[in-house]
Amino acid sequence: MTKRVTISLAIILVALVATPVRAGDPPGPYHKNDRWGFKVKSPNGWLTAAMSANEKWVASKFVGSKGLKPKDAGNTYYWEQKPDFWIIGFPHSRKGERKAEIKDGKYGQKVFTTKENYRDYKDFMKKEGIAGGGYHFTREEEIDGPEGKISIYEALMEDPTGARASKRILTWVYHFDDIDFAVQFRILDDYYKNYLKGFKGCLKSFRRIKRKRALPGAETTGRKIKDKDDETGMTTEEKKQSRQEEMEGRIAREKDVLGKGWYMARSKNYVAFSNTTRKYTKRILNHCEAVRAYLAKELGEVGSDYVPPGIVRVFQNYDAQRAYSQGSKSLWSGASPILVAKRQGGSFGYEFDGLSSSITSQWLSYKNTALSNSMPPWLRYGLTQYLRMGRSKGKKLEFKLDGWDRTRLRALLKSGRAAPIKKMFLRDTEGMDVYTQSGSVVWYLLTKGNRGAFKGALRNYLQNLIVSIETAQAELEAEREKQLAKLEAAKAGEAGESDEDEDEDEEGGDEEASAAEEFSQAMIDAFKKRSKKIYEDSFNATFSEITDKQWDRLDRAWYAWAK
Amino acid sequence: MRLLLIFALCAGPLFADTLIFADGRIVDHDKVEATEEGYKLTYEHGEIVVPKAILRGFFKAGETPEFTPTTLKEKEQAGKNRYPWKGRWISKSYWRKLAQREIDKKKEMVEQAKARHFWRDRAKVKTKTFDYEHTLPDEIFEEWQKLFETYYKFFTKYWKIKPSTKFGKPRIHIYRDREYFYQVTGRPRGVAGFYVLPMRTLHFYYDRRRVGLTISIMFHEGNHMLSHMVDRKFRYPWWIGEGMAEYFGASKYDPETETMEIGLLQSGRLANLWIRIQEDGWLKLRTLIESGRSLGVAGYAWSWSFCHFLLSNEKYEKRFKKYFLALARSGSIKRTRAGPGMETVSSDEQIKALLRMLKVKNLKTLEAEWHAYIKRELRLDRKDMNWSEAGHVMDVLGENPQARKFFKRAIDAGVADAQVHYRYSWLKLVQNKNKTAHKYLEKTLELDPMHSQAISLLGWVKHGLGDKEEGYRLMKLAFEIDPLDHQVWFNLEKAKIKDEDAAGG
Repeated sequence: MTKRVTISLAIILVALVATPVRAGDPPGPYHKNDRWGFKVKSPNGWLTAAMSANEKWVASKFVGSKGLKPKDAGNTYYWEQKPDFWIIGFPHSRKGERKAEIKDGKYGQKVFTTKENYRDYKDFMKKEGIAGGGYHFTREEEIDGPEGKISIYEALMEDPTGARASKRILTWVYHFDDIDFAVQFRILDDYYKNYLKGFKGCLKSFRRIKRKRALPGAETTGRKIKDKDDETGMTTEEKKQSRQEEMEGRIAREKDVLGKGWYMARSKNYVAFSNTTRKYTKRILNHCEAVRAYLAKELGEVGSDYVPPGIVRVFQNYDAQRAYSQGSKSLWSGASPILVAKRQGGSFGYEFDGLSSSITSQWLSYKNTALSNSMPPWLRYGLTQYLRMGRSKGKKLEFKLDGWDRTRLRALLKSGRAAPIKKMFLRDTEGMDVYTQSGSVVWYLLTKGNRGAFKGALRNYLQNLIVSIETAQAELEAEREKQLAKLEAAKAGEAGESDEDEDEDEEGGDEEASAAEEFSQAMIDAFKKRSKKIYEDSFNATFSEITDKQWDRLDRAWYAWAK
Repeated sequence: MRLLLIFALCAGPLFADTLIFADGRIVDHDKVEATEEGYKLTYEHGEIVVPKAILRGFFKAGETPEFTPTTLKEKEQAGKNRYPWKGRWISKSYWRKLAQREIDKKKEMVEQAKARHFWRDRAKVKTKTFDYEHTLPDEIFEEWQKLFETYYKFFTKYWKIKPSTKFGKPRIHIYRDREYFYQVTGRPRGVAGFYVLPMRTLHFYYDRRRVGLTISIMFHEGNHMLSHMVDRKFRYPWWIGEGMAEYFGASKYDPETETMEIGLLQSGRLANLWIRIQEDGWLKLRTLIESGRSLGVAGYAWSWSFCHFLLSNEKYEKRFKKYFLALARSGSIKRTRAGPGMETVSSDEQIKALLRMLKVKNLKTLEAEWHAYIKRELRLDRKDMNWSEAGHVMDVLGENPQARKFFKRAIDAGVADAQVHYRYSWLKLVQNKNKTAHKYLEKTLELDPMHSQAISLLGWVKHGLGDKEEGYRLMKLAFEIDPLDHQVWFNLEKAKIKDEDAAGG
């Protein structure tokens, strides 16, 4: 082979081996949205995301088919990111709506609050954090489109710390008489130029079509959408009715926005919206029921409130779940569905861990909201961690600690940094290590360690905690009433008195706090006192008979068991 | 120092007159009339007279400059075709030429400010030591640049260091205002500036209402950058990094001699320090060194006071300076990893080296000396206390009674700062002292008649005191001036709700 031929072959080989500059995906077929009234071409092969019934602004979402890695990555700080494509609607009837109102403050006092809708796309972009960091517009321009004016925005997100790769956003805002549509692409800046041609093809394809249904956020169900914060003062029965109505309303609304390929399946206590196989969906529902049955059996006595049916969204893969989860903040208003994505290959089965945690948190939060909110954080985390270890077999759960959780726990035990269990109950621990051991401690106390001096200890503690919370809550309420009366009296006094010489009080002397400032401080102090009292009282009521030797024995037994 | 800021650009109508305020705001308005007191701006809901004293310039759309003699001497000289110019009398034609040149210069400044409104249009300036990216007009930027370069010279001389060429040229980003700084950098609210070690980039913004604060932030964050130049692979432990940045943050630059005075009082930190002492007690030195960052805002105050103590003490000053450099450079101090390619020193090792290098037996002794220094030297009744700054810091921290007390002391000492008066009025209103709030809002508007929040709040107070018609007029006027200001809009809405409520609506 001659030298020249060798060089030519080497050049061809290098050209073949080197990563090609990948052209972006070209526009694919039209996507029609008759709820918002538009059609647009999305890039070929991109995933159409499922939409939530709660979403008020984002009309359609698509996710790129391939993950992109920053070109200068080469280290562990970067991960693959997929470009996305959103169409966001700004009906003029909602645009710029600003409203002030008087609401009850944190401690029952009257305060002014505001509610503000987005003024325009730029306002939306800023308040929703669309860029995912700091950004500036690299281009702003207005052009004439086939159906009216189009504003073009190109923004660059550059993380000043360099920890995240730069992103580019290209948006065309189509202006109509009654509505503006922002058609937006987001992509790693390194790939922007490669994809630009395809993006422009999609941006130009946007057209309005006839709307066939009410816009999201405009429809009325005849009742206000509630969340648990609105339940103050309700009886158990009223709560049950309210929760039933809320959940059934939510199920109906979710059903209404289901996209192509999605279906609904129901079990006794759960509703699944799924685009996976029927068999897999059934398996998910069975697992939900098994976790719920276990919770009802083992911890049912922690509260008497009604736990409504749960909604589970079952996705084909994690990308689809992620695409569903991203949207405007409105997506997360009210009761949220539990999300689960089918795992593939070696990671199959891990989705049940997260599912169990979510069911446990939701169940506990409905069963006894006050307990759920005031439980020591390690214990709440421990309960959800414990349930994570459960695998359903038929209607039962079998518990097993494996994988990363087991490795971490063993490392903690080996390091000698594990906290004594008494200290955990006394909340006398520092750092995050206590969370590593919390699931194992809960498991032990509910099973193997549930004997001798510690028989029923965890359940008793929860019962005593409930009593302490109720007592402390009543005291806090009484304090609040007292402080509110004091505040009102002070206000009445201030209104009556002349403040001609009021400026005198600052001259050199100590400044006095106003009645409102005193009220806030008194309530902060009362709240701190309440939190401290809850834990002290429940610990004393449960463990007053337990000696330090018994605590030591418990620690040793748990270490030996957990290893 | 003439550091004037230009960045509150109010969008104005075409062919509008332009007012440049001393604090840097530029207002374009199409209904401006020159009066004896100043310039009268007419709005739908009222008129505002802006005194000439608070203006840096005024341009009547399309007119050539003219001098209007007011005093007898001026009139007499004008009769001889002679006009005054910076302390001397010159011919009318020459005066016109100079005045036009001055106007052109200011117009250019306005145009530059407008042209550089967005980060995409920022100016890039390279010097021997730094790369700057900014959105300031050249005239203003050059002053900041001079200040920063002087700071650099001072720092390298003070520490006797010569930064390695491997360090490269750090970049300095200066943003036109606070809101834009948050948007472009994505930093959370409350951050006033920052330095990014791996990127070697410094970011800060102008606060036209508090130029002193901007300088202090620049010195503080700039100190992080310059400390990084000591050794590019070393990350200073939190307490000493922040303590020294605060120490150098309170510096003063003399533009005449181009010299720096360092280690001045951090009034805001001092006020915060004493609040923490009263509420939490004295901080242990070990706690500061081991977990200074977790102390939050108070950590800065404690760190500053400790560095201030060591650098003001004859016995410790030189030793502590050696310690500062040794942390980064000495082979006798063991270092640990602190992220990719970076090193730091563990708290145990810091303490060991501190005791060894300061020649102190134990931490308790040093701690006692530090606490005694605070009691003796860092007292709240120091003559150099800046009460305005202390008030602002207490205000931000929500310590209302302290903030009121400090603002009042500043006002009583003759501080003519509209923002100090405005915040004091606000805090008096929180206290339900409506008449006092009213009095200080009027004073705020004497100092700055275009302060839209003060106009709006005065309207709210008048509304509360029963003068609803005037209250609404003022709130609407403020909204007309600044429709995007949330507080201005909110006051107007609150008043409407209050009235609807009273009417049973």
